[in-house]
Amino acid sequence: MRTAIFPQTNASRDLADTYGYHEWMIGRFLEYMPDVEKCLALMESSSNAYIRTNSLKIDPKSLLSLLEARNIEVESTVLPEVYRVVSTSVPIGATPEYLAGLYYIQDLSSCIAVDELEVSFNQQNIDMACAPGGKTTFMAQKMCNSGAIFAIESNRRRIPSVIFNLSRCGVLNTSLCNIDARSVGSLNMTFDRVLLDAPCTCEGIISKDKTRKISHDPSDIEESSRRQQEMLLEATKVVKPGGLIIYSTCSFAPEENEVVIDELLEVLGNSIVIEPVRHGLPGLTHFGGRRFHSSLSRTARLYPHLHNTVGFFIAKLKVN
Amino acid sequence: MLRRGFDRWGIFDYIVDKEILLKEKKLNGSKIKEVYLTTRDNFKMIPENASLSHIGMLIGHLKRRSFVPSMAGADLIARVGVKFPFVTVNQTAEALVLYGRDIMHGSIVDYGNLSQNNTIVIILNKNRVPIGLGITMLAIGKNIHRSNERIVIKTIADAGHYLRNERLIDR
Repeated sequence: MRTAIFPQTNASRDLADTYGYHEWMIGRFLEYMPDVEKCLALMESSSNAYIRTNSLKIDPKSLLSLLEARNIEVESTVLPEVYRVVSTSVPIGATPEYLAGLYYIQDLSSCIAVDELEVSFNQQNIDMACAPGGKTTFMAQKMCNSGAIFAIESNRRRIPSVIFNLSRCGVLNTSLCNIDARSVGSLNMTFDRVLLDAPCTCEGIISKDKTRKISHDPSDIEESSRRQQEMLLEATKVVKPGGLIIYSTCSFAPEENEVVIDELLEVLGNSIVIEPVRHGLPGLTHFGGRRFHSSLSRTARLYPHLHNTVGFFIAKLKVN
Repeated sequence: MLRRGFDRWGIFDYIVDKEILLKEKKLNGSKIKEVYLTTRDNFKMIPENASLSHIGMLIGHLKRRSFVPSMAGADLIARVGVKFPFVTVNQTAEALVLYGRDIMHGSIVDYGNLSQNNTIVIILNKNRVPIGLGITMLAIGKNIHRSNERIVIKTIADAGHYLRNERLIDR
C-alpha cells in the first residue's frame, strides 16, 4: 500500500511550522490521532521514564526501598512490575542497582506488549527482533528463567548490547542468534509465543529523538511496511497451533500497523484471530480510503498524551 | 576442576540441574575456556544449524586449572552462593569501584571467607549488591586476619565496565 498523503490544510501547515515537522506527517496525524496539538506539544518535552523490577533478582518492595535510599521517587502503573519515575537526583541508568540488573529502564508500552503475550513457565518462545534485549529479559523473568527463549537480532552491531542486558539481568534461558527474522522458518523450530517488535520508522519516539520529525519520507514508511509484512508472515510459520503472536511497533503510521495486520488477515483468513489488548485506544478500522477488517478495533494504539507512553501499536494474534 | 570451582564459590547445588558449556578462546596470547550456564530446556532447543552469538550466561572462565567468575558469575554467586569470599565497601568506594578503581583498607566495612592472600573476592556495596570482583593485595608482611591491617583490593572486574566502554564494544 502506498503511503497515504492528504491535501495541505491551514492546520497541517501551522502545526508543522510550529513544531518543526514535515507537513505531510502532520496531515496524516490529523486524520487519525485525537487532539494532535496536545500530542505534539507533549512530545517536545522528554518522555516519562519507567523502570521495571527484575523479579529474577529482587522483589518490588525491596527494590523500592533501595530506590528510596537513592532519592529516586517512583509511582505505580497499570503493571505491578513497572514504576514511573516521578523524580530523581541521580541518573537512573548508572546506579549500582541498575548495573546489577535489579531493574530495567523500559517504556510502559513495551512492558504492556510483553504482558499481553501471556508468557509462563516452561514455554518455548521467540523474540524476533530482540535488541537491546528489554522485552527478552522481561519474557525471561515472566518465565522465571525456565523453558527457553530464542532471541534473534539481524544487526550484528547491536548484539553486544543484548548480551550485556541478558547478563546484567541474570537471564539463563536464552539463546541469541544473529540472523534475519525473515529466515527463521528455515531453522525448523516452533514456538508457543512469538514476539515481533518490528523495526519501524519510530514516529512514536519523537519525544526521545527529535530528528524523527524530518528524518523519513513516505517511501520509508512503504519500505518499512513491506519488511514488517514479511517478518509477520514468517512469525506465523514458526508459531505452534494455539500459540500467540504479539506484533508491535513504536510508530503511529497505519501502514506499519493496522495495514500490516489487515494484509495478513487477507492472506491467512480464519487461521488468525485478533485477540483484544487490555490497554490503549482501539486500532483504526479505516484510513486513507481503505477499510480494514472490523476486528482491527481489537488492536491497541497508545499515545503519549493519553497513556503517558511513547507512541505504540500492539496487535495480539491467536493462530489456530 | 569445575566442580571444585563451583564448590569453592558455593554454587554447586544451584548448578546441578542446569547445563554447563565450555568455549575455548584466546586471551592475550593464552588459551582460556569460557564457562556458560544455561537451562536444560534452552540447551535442548538449540537447532544444529543455528550459529549462536550467545547462550545462557557467561559465568566465568577456566584459567590455569581454576575457575574465575565473570561479573555475571559474581552476581549469581552473591545471590545463590554460600560461604563465598567477599568484601563490603562504603559508598565512596562503591562509586570508585564502578570506575574500575582499587579499594583501600579504610573503605572496607566488612569482609568474609578470605582464607589467604591473593584471593579473588566479590565486592559488594552496603546493600549487598555485587558491584565488582577484586583480588586481595596484602601489604608485605601483614596478616589479613588482623582486623587493623591494611587490606587493599585490586579491582579486576566491575559492573560499570560495559557502560564505560559501550561505544567501543557496540561495533
